[in-house]
Amino acid sequence: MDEEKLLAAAYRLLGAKQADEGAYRLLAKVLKENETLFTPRFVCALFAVGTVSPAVTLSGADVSFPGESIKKHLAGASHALLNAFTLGAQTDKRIKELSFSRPSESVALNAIASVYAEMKADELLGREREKIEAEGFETSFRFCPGYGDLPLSANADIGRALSVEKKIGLSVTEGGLLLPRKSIIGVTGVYPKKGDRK
Amino acid sequence: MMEKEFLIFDGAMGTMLQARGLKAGAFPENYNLTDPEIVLAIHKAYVEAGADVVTANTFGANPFKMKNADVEAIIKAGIRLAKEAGAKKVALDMSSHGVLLEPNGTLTFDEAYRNYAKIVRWGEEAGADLVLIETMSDLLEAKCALLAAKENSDLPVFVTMTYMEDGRTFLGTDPVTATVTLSALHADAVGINCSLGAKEMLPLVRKVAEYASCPVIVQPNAGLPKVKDGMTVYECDPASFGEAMREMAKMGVSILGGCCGTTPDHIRALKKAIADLTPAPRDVKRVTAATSATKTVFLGDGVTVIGERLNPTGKKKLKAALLSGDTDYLMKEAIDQEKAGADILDVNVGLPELNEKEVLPKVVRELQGTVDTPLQLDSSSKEALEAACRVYAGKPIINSVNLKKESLEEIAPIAKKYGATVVGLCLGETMPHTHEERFAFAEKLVSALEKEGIEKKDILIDCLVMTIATDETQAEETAKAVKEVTEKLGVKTVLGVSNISFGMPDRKKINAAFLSRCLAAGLTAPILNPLAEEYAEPLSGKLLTLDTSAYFNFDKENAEGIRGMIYCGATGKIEEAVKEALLSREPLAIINEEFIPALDEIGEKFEKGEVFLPRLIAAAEVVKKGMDVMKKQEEGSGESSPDVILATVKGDIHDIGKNIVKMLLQSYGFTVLDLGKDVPEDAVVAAWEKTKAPLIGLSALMTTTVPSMKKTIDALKQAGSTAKVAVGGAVLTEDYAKEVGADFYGKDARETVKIAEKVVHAK
Repeated sequence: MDEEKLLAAAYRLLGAKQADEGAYRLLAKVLKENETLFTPRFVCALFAVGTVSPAVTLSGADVSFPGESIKKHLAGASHALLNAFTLGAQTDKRIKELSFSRPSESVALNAIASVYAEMKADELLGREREKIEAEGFETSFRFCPGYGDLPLSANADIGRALSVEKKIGLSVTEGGLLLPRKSIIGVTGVYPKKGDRK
Repeated sequence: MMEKEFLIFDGAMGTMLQARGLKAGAFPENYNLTDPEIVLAIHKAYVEAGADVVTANTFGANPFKMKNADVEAIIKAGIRLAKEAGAKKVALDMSSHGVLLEPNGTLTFDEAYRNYAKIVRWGEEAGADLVLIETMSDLLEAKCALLAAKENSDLPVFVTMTYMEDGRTFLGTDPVTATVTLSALHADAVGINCSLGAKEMLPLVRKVAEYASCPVIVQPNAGLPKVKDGMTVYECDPASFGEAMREMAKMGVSILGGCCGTTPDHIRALKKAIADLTPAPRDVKRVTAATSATKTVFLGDGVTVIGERLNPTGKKKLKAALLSGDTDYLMKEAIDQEKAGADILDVNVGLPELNEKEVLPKVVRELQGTVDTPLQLDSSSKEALEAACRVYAGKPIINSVNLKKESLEEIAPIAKKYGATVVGLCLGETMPHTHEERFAFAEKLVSALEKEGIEKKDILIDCLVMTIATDETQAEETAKAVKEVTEKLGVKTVLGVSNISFGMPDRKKINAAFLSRCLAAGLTAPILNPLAEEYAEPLSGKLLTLDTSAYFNFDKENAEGIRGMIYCGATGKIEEAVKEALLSREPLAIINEEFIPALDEIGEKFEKGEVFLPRLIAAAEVVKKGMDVMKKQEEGSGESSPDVILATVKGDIHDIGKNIVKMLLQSYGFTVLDLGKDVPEDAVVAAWEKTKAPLIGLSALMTTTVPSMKKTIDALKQAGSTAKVAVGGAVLTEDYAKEVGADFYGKDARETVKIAEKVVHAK
């Protein structure tokens, strides 16, 4: 994990425009003190794309994605790599605890954890994408429920298909939100190389 | 601990169904209705492989998860299929709701409980022989399911949690904490399933075997899951699985089976691997403990500090926060104490205006979502304690039960049911004064609690700290009692340290020295303010001594004359001096010219904080002795009707304050009718009707008994009483006095004398 990149991104996320040594030091300190609480866990599974209309379905998985956005994203895809990531429950608890004792550190940790989760999830998904690409496919970026017109309820479908609760301790609320908070669920398209496409 | 025979469970269902075409993300439980023959065939294969128990295909069959399904039909069909397979026993399988409970998530404890209760009733109706609660990450949810199973069926209940490579569940629970908590809650077996492979699980299983007071159950996966071609696979072969399970059997695990990826071949291999063994006996650790969801605190393992600050008595800000529902303030207090070194936090929300039954569980829920420290639930209300015990994610300490009949009858069963560690307070219909009395109380408490089914290891004795201001010997008597209780009864002890210095100067010094003395006597867990600096030295083991006699030595030798003797608290020669004075003077003159001016002088100094309570009491004692001399001479002159009726109200037995008021009133020449402590409303009304005394003084020390004060005043008014009512006691304030309908607030004994002068002399 590139610490400098992480801190810079967290800094931007907090809305800072001008350089502020103090704020930077705070972020660095908070990262150092809490990094051990981060327990990144990742799970993914590859499914062949079934039908695309009226909703996208995958063969071998009990999922059905409505809307135009996911259809567009998976247009031409042979497979979909469902993936889920969480930073773990202890981070949420610490952010809450700090909000009572040291509110500024709570805000800082919240930003750092968000960025860390994003970067770590990209890294872990990236490894899977590389493996797939090495076998002669192209892959897309992670498309998440909530993007375009893919509803948040798709989080629950993907979560069940990946057994995220059992495997990485991620739960999806009835409203489709993820707990622990620093978690990501998404769909990555797997496409035959352009030259190979029919 | 030893179980007679192994009980062999079956292996996986979900992964077996996936191999037969179940789609990822689809509910395997639907197969009970759509493809029963597939489910039955899998069950039969496990029975043939040697499984004693077949687990019904009901893992995720929960009305919360399967919203549009007929869950009752799915569960009942599941049990029927398992029975049809011919297993010796059929387990109803339950797991988590898949969402987090409050405050981390949105699901309420009550809703989760209702779902589990339904599942359990359906399962029992269909003929299940036992309930298996498995793959749990959230200790609170596991507890909720266990309570629902116990309260809605007569079936044995087995509970297994699932752990990660770091030895904790996703929500941070470790195996020792889960084992201590769930065995205390009377699970019939506890253990581990899923998560890891059998080999990886061994160190965690060892921990469970060390602490489980019930049989241990283990159902591992067929090795760690690996992803191959985008799919999860389990690669541990049956023989290696059997080998690792044999290790577990040797550790004392008596219930064995498999989870994800295991097949009938794994169960066959397991059965073969342990064929020549019988369950190994275990040497179970009998520990005194309190747990949160993520931490176990062992009492007796060094000094355990119990933080006292979450208690509104005498804390204006906390009281305001509780009244306004501002839990943030409480969280901050909790975190501050945790950071300052508290191992356990006492939680008390006893305010007359608050419904403890609602507020205590609410505060407990918030606290356990924020701090890791185990909690000590502090209340005298059985409803509040039970409500809080239910939603507490661990094994709490209950503070406290005493020797009063209703306390034992109401609170001991709650401690037993919820597996709490319980504080037995040395208090009954009377209060102990000497160490011998304290020991006798403690002995009775231990035997009464043992009779209720609570083990000695789950009992903590509070030897009851009373201030040295009223009795100089109390520090030593308490410390001696701690030593005796520790050595002779073999139980651990707690003490509310700062009570020792109530009404004294130099409180910090006295508290620190007292703590040091009690720790040396073997005190396990002091209840104190962990942020107070004075405790640092004694807690670090430094021995402190303090000669408190200086506080009680008022230059008695040089006292001269009656006034001088009173002023210096010199009781030695007062009788002689009064007798001599009576030869030449009227008793009333002695009272007015000697006693009262001396008491006034001391009283004024007390008001200004120049002298402290012991001095005032000592003066009153001298006066009492002098009065006794006069009374003897006046004997036979007939009983006079009282000026003041005094009572400690119903439910309260703290009468030190009331007795001080009485002594001081008598010193000033008022006739007092003392009704004692724990006095019912009717008795106060009857006393007034009989005597028509112009002033009634009511005292209450505990927040919980302030309402009795109001009831007594209401009853007096209803009876047409014309007496003025003054109220006092540690928790009373001017506002409370008004609220309960009193005419006066007697902030201390001296103030009460002034009130009596106003009321009685105006008569």
